[in-house]
Amino acid sequence: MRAIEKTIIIIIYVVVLGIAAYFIVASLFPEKVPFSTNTYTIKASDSKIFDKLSSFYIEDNSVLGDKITINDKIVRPITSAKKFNIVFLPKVNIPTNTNATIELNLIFDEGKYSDIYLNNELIFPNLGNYELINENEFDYVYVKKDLLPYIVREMLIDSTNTEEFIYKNFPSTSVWSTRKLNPINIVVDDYVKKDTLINGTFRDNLKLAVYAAGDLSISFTKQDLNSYIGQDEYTIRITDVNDNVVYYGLLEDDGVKTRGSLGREQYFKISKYNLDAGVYYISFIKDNYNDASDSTIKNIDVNNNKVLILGNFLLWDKFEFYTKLNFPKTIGFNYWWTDKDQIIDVSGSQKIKIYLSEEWRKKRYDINLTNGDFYFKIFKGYTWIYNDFSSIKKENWLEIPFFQGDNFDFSNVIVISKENYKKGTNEFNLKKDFNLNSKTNKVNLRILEPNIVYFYYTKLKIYAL
Amino acid sequence: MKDKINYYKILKLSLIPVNLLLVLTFLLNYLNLLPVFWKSIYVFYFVLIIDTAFLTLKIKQIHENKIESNVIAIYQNTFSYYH
Repeated sequence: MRAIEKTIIIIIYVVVLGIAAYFIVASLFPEKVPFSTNTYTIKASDSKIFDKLSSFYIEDNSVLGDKITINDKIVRPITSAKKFNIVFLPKVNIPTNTNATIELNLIFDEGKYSDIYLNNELIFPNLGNYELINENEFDYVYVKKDLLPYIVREMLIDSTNTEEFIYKNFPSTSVWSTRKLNPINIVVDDYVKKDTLINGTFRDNLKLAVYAAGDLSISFTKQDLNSYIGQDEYTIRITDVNDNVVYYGLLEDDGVKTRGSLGREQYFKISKYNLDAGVYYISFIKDNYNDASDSTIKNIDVNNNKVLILGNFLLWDKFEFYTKLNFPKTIGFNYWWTDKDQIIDVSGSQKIKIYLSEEWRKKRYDINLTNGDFYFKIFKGYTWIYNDFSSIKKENWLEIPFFQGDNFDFSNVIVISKENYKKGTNEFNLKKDFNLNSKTNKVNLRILEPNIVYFYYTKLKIYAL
Repeated sequence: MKDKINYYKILKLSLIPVNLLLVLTFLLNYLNLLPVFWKSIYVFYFVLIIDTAFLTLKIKQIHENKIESNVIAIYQNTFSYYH
């Protein structure tokens, strides 16, 4: 055999056995793979041709237009509103639930915005209908343009802290933020230790905000409807403003797990002592054993006078409530059973009679209200109430700092962290943690307005294999 | 005149590690250990090309007089006929 043939054969053996050795190490000992990287990047300046040969790539790169330069950066316009995937195919066998961070860097067209969704979750809203009202070292604060006629800019109380600025100027309002807002502990002057009875029956989830100092006592009655097969339970969770759990308990089924008549009343009382003064959140969380919520909570009695119902609630009976609107707002109602058409009486700053006729069955009825005090009288119930904050009476009202919702839902105030957005250069940057698995990992991205947002780069960082 | 490189011999000796690689990737894939980036089907295509090239050279090397009785040639003719 000639030397050249020997050499070729040796090279083939070395290469093939090297690949085999790599496969064995990458499969069985991934942490020992030499020259492996923990950071992967897709840049707009990369050629799109070899995308699929990379382990980190954009699946449908037709959404990206041709390269252009903005602020000395090579970017590509995102030309389609369709959803596209950023794909990661691990080259080594990574364990399930490996921590990783994806960083996304985009640039907006000057003065234009678009909703941006990452994994179907809004990560940046379209600010077209919002106006910048405050800027501090850390954040931009935007308010809805519709609210501007009700705001006197010179009267706004300034603060270097975003959370305080919102509380002082826009209390009890829904806020959407790119970062988790820090809770504020407030002091309520007209707080009195006096029992407050919430004279209503609620089905489905219910969340209350209660101001307490020293001790907190809450009693209520649970009554199962027994309309569905399965156990009917509620979980009760009491937390402070920092989301520390003060109480957690399970309200068990009444013993009737099949379909039957209305169950017996089960009385519960929870008392906690030596609590710091502040707002506490009481959540009644329905079980998942039934097709629909199959139990009710009623006669809730709290040992102080400051109690709010947070968010939407489902009434099972007649009910009266109060709400204070600092700005115009839409409040909605929705009933679904025949013969539950009803009149809802609204009084206070505006006097309105709402007739939820048969034609509104299973349809949401929205009413636009101005700012002011409003009293609602619901004569039949069996209806969803879509409102952010409700109290039993005016004296029970409590201005809580803000309500940071997971859903954007046209929030009045928007906080954009400067870590995420630089107004001067229109750059958007987001780092999001997620868990990887050993198979194909996909993160989907969607920009609702085409040709407004430019892709600069995305980076994936994997933490310790 | 220089001797030509004996590709047949090179391929013949290469078959051992190449097919071992195929078996290894199939095994790792079957045990769900092979990282998803290294799809075993690509290794299969690679091995298929090497094996086919080797068979082609082997058939070419069969003497005209023995071609009728050679097993590989019989199989090759049979598959070509049915194709």
